[in-house]
Amino acid sequence: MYSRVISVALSGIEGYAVNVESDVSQGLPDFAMVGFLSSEVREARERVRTALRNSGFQIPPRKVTVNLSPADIKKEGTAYDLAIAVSLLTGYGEIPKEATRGTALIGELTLDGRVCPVNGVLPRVAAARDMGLPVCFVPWDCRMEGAVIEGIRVIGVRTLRETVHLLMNPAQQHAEESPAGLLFAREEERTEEDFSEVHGQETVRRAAEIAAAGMHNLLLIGPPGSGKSMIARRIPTILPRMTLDESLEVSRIYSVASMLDPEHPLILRRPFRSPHHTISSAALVGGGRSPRPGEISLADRGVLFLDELPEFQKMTLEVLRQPMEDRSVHVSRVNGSCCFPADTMIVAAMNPCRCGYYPDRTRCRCTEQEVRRYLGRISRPLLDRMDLCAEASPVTYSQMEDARRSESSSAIRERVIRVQNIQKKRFTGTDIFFNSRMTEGHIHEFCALGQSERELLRQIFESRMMSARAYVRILRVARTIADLAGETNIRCPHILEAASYRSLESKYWG
Amino acid sequence: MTERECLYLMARTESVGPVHFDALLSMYGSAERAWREKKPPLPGKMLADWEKMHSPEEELACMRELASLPARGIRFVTRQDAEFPACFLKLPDPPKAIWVIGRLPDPSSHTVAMIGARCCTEYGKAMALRFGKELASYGISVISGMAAGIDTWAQTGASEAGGFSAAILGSGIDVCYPASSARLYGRLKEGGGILSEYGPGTKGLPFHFPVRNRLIAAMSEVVIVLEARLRSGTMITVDQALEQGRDVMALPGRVGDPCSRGCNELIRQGASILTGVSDVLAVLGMQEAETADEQEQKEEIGMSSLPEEARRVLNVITTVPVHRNEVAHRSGIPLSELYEILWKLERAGWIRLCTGDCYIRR
Repeated sequence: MYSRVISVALSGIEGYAVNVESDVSQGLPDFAMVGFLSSEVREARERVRTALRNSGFQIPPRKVTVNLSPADIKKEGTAYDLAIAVSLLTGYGEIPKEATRGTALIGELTLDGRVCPVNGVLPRVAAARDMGLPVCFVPWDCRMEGAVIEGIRVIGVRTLRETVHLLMNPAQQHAEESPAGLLFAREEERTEEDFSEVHGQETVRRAAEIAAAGMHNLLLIGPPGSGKSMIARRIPTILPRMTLDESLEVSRIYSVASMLDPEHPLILRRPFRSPHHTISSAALVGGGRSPRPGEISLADRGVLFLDELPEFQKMTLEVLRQPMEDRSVHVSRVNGSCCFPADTMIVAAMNPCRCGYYPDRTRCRCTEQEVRRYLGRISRPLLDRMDLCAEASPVTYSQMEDARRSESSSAIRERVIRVQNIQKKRFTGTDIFFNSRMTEGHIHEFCALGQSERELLRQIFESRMMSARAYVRILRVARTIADLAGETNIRCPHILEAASYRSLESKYWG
Repeated sequence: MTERECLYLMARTESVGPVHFDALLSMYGSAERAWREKKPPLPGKMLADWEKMHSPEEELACMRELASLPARGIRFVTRQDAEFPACFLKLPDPPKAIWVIGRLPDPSSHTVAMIGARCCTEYGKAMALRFGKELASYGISVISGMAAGIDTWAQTGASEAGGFSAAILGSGIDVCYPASSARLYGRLKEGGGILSEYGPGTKGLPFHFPVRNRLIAAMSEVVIVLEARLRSGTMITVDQALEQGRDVMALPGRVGDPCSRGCNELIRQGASILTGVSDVLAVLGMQEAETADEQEQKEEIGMSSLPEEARRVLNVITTVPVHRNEVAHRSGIPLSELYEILWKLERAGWIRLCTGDCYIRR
C-alpha cells in the first residue's frame, strides 16, 4: 500500500517540505530507501526498523520502498526518522491514512523507540505553518521551541508509540502553549556588565555610543589593559531591545545551530560573540559540508567582537568583507546554496604593535618596520569597512581610583534609542534602517552640507591626506553625530568629530 | 678602456675597500694599468672578486650601467672630479668614488648633520622637524642618513622649509632604504641631494651603515644628536665625528627617558648642549635673526591674540604628547567643544596631531 507523510528539511534558516513516501507491496522481501540521501539519512533504515519492532509493531517482510521527495535535493540530518516510521506504519496499514493528513513530523528515533531532539525545530515548525499544516509533531525536548511559532498546533512526543497513539486519537493531542508574544513580553535578563564601570576613556566611550546609535563598525586601538575589551563587551547593553521579528530571526539561527536553551527558546538578549583568533574562516562566516551558521551569523542583530584583530589569520578576516557589505552570508555547495543572515555590528580591538605600547617609546622598542608589519596584517579594504576607529589611552592609576561612577548603560541606551528612532523615520520608504547602511545615493539625499562644512571637509582631506573612501564614512558618522546632537543638518563640529575617528588611519597606516 | 671606465669597474668591485684601492693605484700608477693586471697582490676573497669582475660579462654589464647612469639622473663622481667633496679626501679612507643624485652641498655653505634614533619619541620627532626647519631657514645644509625616525624627520623638516638637505645612504643610490622614507627620497631627488659610495642596486646591509656614518661626520661642521639610546648606532657616528674633530651637540632629554640617555651622557662628557637654534649658530659663528627672548615674546603675543578657550587648551599641551581625553580633563573644556578648538590650533600651526590620539606642541 502507498502512503505519504510530511516532514520538514532545512536550508540555511528556512525550512521546506519533504514528502516521505513509502510503498509496501508483495514481492521479494526488500527494504530500499531513495531520494538523494546522505549516509545518516540512509542509516535511518536500521534505526526505524529496530525502533518499530521494539515499540511492539509487527512489520512482516515485504518489498518496501521509501522515497524522500523532492528527490533531487540532498537530504541531511536525522530529523526524518519519525516521519519514515509513521509513513511505514501507514503503508503496512497500522495507521489509517486520514490520521496523518495535515500533520508534519519531525524527530530522530532511538533503537528502543524514543524520540530524540533535532536541530532547527523553530524554522521547521515555521515552515510547516507556512505550508498551511494545522499540526506538527516535534520531539518532547523541543516542544517549547516549536511552540514559539503561532498559528500551528505543536505536539511534543516522547516515544514512537505515543506518536502513533496521538495520531489515532486526535482528541488527546495536547498542544503546547508558549506563543512568541508571551515569551517576548518577559523581562530581558539583566547583565552584570554596565558602562558605569568603565573609568576614563571618554573618546572611546563616545565612539561606542555613536557606533551603537548608527550600527557602525568600530575599531579600537590601544595599549594592553586600556579597557578595549571591557568597552566592547558593554556595547550590547546600550543597544535597544530586539523587536519580536529580530528576536525570532536570531532564535531561528540559534535553533539551526542547536544552541537554543530548551526552557527559554526565544532569544531576547542581543547576541555578543567573541570568537578566539585561531578560528577558521568556515567557523567565522559559516559553511561546512552541510552548511552551519558561522560566528558572524550567530552575532546577527548583535555584536561580533574580534579581539586581537591582527592575530586572526589574514584569509579568515578577508572572508568577512562580503558579509559586511551584504549583511548576509551565501554559502554555495555542489548540492545547492543557502543563506544565513549576518546583520551584525563588528567591533574589533587591537594593539598598535606587537608589544602593545607603541608610540610610547620608553616602553616600546619595536622598529618602525615591525610596527608596520604588525599593522599590515589588517588589509586596507577591511580597514575601510570600519567606520569608526578610536584610540584608547593608557589608564592611569588615578583614573582607576576615581570613585565617581561614569554614566550608566541605561542612560546611554536612551540616547541610542532616540537616535535609532530618528533614523527609522528618516529611512521610511527605503530598505535600510541605519546611517551606517547609507549608500552614495542616500548620502546625497540625507547628508547635504552647507558651504562652510564643505570647505572644512576639503581642508581636513588635504591636511590629513585621506582617501576617497574615507569621505563616505566620515559623512555617515557625521550624520549619526548630528542625530545624537538632535540637529537636522550636519554642521562643522560634527564633521570634525567624525574625522577624528578616521584620522588614525593616516597616522598608523599612512 | 678609459681611466674612468676602469675606475668604475674598480669602484664596483665591492670587496676591495678604499685602503686596498689606494694601494693598487699607487702600485700601478693609474686605474687603467691596475685593471690590466689580472692577479694583483690582494688577499684571497678580494682576488676572487677581482677576477670575477674581469670576466667579459661583468665588464660589459658594468659598462652598460655606466652608460645608463645619465639617463637615470645619476652621476658617477671620482676623486679626480672637481665635484668630489673635498672633505672626504681628508679621511684616512675616502670613498673610492661616489654616486650622486641631485646636488651636493654648496662648499661655501654651512653644513650640520642631524642624527638620532630610528625608534624616536614624539618629542624627538617634533624637535627634529623644528630644528631641520630652523637650520634650513638660515641656509644651513642638513646632512643625514635618511634612516627611519630622527633622520627622516630632520630632513623632512629642512626640505619642507625649502632648505637644502643631503642624504648619505648605506645602500645603492637607487635603493630607497628604508622603504618608508620613499616620500623623502622623492623630495631629495628633486630639491636636495642623495649620495652613496655603494654601486647601484646594492642592498642596505647592516655593516654598510657604520662605514657610511664616517661620511656623514666628514661632510658636516657640526653633528647634532637629537635622541639616542646609550648603546646605539648614533653613538658610533658620534665617536667618528669626535675622531674627525667635529663639534658634537646634544639635545637634552628628560631624566629616565631611555631614548635620551645617550644624549644626556654626551652632555655629561662635555658635548655642547642644544637648547635652540642659536646654540648651533654660535658654534658656526653666525648671527641669529632674532634672539630666543624675542621669539618667546613673539609667541606670547601670538598666544594673547587667541580666544580665551584656545589659550586654555594650548596651555595644557606641551612637548610631551597629551591624549585628547587628558586635554579635556586638564583644560576643563568638554570633548564636544574641543574638536573645533583643536582643529583651529592645528590649522594655525600651534599644535600637531600624533599617533595615539595625542597632541603635541609644534
